[in-house]
Amino acid sequence: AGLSPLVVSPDLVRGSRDKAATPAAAQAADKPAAQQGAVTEKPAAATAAPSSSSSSAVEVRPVRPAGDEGAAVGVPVQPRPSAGASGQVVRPEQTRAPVAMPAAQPSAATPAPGGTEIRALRISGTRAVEMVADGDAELQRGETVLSADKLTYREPTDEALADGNVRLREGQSQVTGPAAQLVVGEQVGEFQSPAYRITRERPSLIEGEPPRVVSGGGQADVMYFEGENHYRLENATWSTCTPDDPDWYIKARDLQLDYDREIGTARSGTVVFKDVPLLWTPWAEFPLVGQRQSGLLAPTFGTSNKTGLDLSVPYYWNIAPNYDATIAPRYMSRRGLQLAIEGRYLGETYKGEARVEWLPRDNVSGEERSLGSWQHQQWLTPQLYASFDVNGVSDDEYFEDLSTRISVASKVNLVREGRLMYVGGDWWSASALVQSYQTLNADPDVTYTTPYRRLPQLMLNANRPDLIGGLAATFQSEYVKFAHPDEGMPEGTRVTVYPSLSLPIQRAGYYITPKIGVHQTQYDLDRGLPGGRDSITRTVPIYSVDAGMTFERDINLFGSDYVQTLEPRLYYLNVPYRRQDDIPIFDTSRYDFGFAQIFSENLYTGGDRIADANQITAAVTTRLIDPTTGGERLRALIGQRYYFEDQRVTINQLGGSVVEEPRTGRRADILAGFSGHFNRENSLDSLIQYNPRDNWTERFNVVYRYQPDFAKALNLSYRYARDILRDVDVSGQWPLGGRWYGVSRLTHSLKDDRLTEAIAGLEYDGGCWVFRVAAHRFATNSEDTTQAFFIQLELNDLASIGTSPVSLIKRSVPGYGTINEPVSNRVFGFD
Amino acid sequence: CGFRLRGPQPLDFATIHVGASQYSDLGISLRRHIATSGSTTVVDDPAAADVKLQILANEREREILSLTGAGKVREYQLVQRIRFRLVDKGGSDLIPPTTILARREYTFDDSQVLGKEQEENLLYNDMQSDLVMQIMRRLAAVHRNP
Amino acid sequence: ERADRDKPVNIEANRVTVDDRNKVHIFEGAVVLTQGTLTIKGEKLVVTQGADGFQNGVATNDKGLASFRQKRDGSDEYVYGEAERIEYDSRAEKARLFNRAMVNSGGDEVRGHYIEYDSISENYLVTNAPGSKPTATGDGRVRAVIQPKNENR
Repeated sequence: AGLSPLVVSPDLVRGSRDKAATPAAAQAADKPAAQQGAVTEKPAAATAAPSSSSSSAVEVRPVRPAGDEGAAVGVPVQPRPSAGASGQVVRPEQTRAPVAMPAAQPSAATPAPGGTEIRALRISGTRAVEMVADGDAELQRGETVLSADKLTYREPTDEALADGNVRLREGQSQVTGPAAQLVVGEQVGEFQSPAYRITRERPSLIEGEPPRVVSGGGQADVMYFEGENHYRLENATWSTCTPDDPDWYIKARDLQLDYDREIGTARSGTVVFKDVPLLWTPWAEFPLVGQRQSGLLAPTFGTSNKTGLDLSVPYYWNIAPNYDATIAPRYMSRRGLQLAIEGRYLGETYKGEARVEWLPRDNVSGEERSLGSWQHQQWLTPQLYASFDVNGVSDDEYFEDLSTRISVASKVNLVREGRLMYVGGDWWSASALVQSYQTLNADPDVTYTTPYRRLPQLMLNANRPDLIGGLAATFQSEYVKFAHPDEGMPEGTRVTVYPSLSLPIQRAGYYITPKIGVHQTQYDLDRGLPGGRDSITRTVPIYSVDAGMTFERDINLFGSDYVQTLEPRLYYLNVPYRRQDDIPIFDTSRYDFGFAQIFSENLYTGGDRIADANQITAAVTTRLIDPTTGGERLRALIGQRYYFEDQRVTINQLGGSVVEEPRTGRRADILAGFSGHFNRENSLDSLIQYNPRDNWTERFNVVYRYQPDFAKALNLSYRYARDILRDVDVSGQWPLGGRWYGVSRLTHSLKDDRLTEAIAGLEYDGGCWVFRVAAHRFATNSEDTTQAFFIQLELNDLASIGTSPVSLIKRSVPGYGTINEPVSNRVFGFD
Repeated sequence: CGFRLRGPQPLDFATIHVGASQYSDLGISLRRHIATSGSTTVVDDPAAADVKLQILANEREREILSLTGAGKVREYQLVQRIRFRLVDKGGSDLIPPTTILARREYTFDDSQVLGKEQEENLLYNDMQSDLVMQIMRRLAAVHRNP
Repeated sequence: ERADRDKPVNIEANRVTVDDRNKVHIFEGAVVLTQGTLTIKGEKLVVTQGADGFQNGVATNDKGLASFRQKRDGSDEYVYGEAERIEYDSRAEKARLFNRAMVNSGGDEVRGHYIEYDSISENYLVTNAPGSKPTATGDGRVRAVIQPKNENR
């Protein structure tokens, strides 16, 4: 029903004379004659002009019928001479309130959330059924904008059909193609021969950094939308490169993209680089937003003088969201076929990693060689922590022969331990440890004795810093049973109890901490030292006073204001002599002479030697502090110790060879250190240990780091330790112009006049891929070196092909910036 | 020469929430130092705290520094990196995300693994207290405009 | 509403000029035509009777927009339309709205320079120029808004 036709019957028009009001009546003209002139009495008074063929003077006094909105008073109109239809001159006699305009025009309706807005040159259709938008048509709902030459939208099914230059945009993602059909709400439909690009933001790995935008896309025959964030494409390509001419892409008969799990799955997929197919895989998963753990792990290859050609093809198996494994068969031309399996698992309160390598038959040695390693950490309760770390290899030369990684090849002791720690008590904690080592003696002219096994070691420590009168008490206790596989080595148990009391007087400007403790140890040796006691008790009182002050002043250096501090510190230690030469050395060694160590109560680590002492250690530290941020720009410190007695306790064992000459001089070495980063780019660290007795330098090293920019770093270092080493080390990464970056590290031992380590690498940044080649040469024993050569092609956020030298370079070139952060290859955990 | 004894270092906020567990070494050390500042108490409920100290990262690394002629490790370098930020009640940065790091070196000998293990612990503790001091100094440098 | 066809038509205006010879009635000044649920408002309403007895009404409003409002059949929603000029062809039951045209029904709205609205079939055509062909040079596109219906939520 709509606007019924208007029939103006002669009595319709209200005349001027006071004719009886007859309601205006209009009949539907096309109504059959019988219904003509149905007139209903209207309450409103309206006068109708007498009908006459000629247009007579008319006076209309409209009176609003009650109830009509916008009621307004009628206007008596001055009669006027009749004239033809047009040209009447009207002079209202009196003015009145302006007539209410038609209902205020509703402002342009904006779609309620979930509503749809359609724009086009021409729109036609039936309300709530179908709408056809022609010419530059565009449909928008929330973030989804579908535009095309012609759009047909069927409201009941919420279906949009688009023809001609179709473009679907959602946030930053976009799909274009000739035709598409999409149920807008459910995001279900299909797109014909689409060119697509899906962009997602990935939270940065470093908290506080802006998220990283990763986008992947390509072309396909058809793209099926299977619900939000789920797409399936046929004969599709996918790449993270710029869409027009991608340097590399994955081509797959069937490609499924799940942006909820951020995993893409390719069936019979091929990785193509510069139009060269590199890898075909029947089925593969790969990351869509480039998380660290990459799904598709491309083959890695390199060569080395130990393994020959070294090719491995890893296969990543995502067992479950928190379980995954990498199975990597590895072919070594000189050694044969090896299988490496690495599994990782993650739980609410636990995580772990296990790894097995198995070489059925080594072509060189003819034996079967294997490696096993398992690390597990778990919080049994929020206070009880348990972990174990077991490692083992089949033979001593395993790493040297089969590993191209320096940090692996240099391993001598492989730990096997189980640990339990309780940290619940707010002032005490306890721990238990079972530990032993597999020691690899690969070097013919150096034999390492395996460390003692601790089966078990139990520790209970307590710390009450706030007793009455400001006293503070600490209590350390340990029970440990030492065992050793070699017959001749002593074995036994050691129980130590070490309570101590101190009175820390601590103020902002100074502190004084006198401390007294009694270190009691009981040894019960199954096999003692020849001629030594089997049951030894050692009770040693330890007195110490630690005092320090902090002075400050404002200072202006190099044009900016700083607060300079001056922090003198004195540490007096007094420990009487106790005979300890028949106590076996289980876990004791001598501390380095460093700033952290010179303020400890003992020259030795471990528990088998408590050095006698009557000495004062003095040190002064000065720092430059930036007052606005409180950051430390520069620090210099110098320290020395003064002895009042000769050294009597040494690490030498009864009947053993003399390992350590007891000290007789009154003054210890002078230690001076400097560490400053003048601005963001330059920093210098140095340490010198000068021996005043013999008037020579024991140790001196200086490291200068210059890092002006990302992927620009230069480090120069000189390390000297008397009779031990004199190394010069130069490492750096520098752009070589174009997209090339050079990276290298050279460590030259001046003492042996030998290059102990050399790395040279070249990197090319292809925009969405990086090509790396690196050569690495390092000593594996006194005469032998390993030369390894890595080739790596890394497709950004997808996978890297080739052994990753990045971890190697990162370890050895401080400040090295991976030019396409982050590295996605985690085939072999780099250590 | 202008030096004067350092005065007390009050922090410019009454309550603070520390984003490190009270069972971790870092958490214990931070809480103890904040308590001794005398001006600020540590609260457990982040919402009730004037400021929130967020520990964004606390990484320890051990890297080979030098090798013996025989290709075995002679020196290790320990690095501890702490990345933190201080936000006020409204969530805006009083201290933007900042990374501070400490380095210690020590000689290593494969035949004294047990002893060196304890030396490593001593160095880690020393680095931690060094970094905590630096964090405390940076907290003391924060002046909230009233 | 279809029932409107049987309702009487009530037209108020400030004045009317009748030209019987051409069967033209011109209503001017705050013209309000009501018939059942149908209301047409404007400043000027020209009603002409065609040879076949059908009436055509042309409502215009030089001071603003002419408008029409009618209840939809079998629903309590109202259709509201407005434009500078509204032509109503009673025989075809089609309204044609010119310039700043808009038809809104239950929140769904179409807006453009020219709208054809067939009240029987509820079909409509919206373009940016008279005639049904979209002209490329149209200054901007026409627009339709469809509110979310709970049934297809």
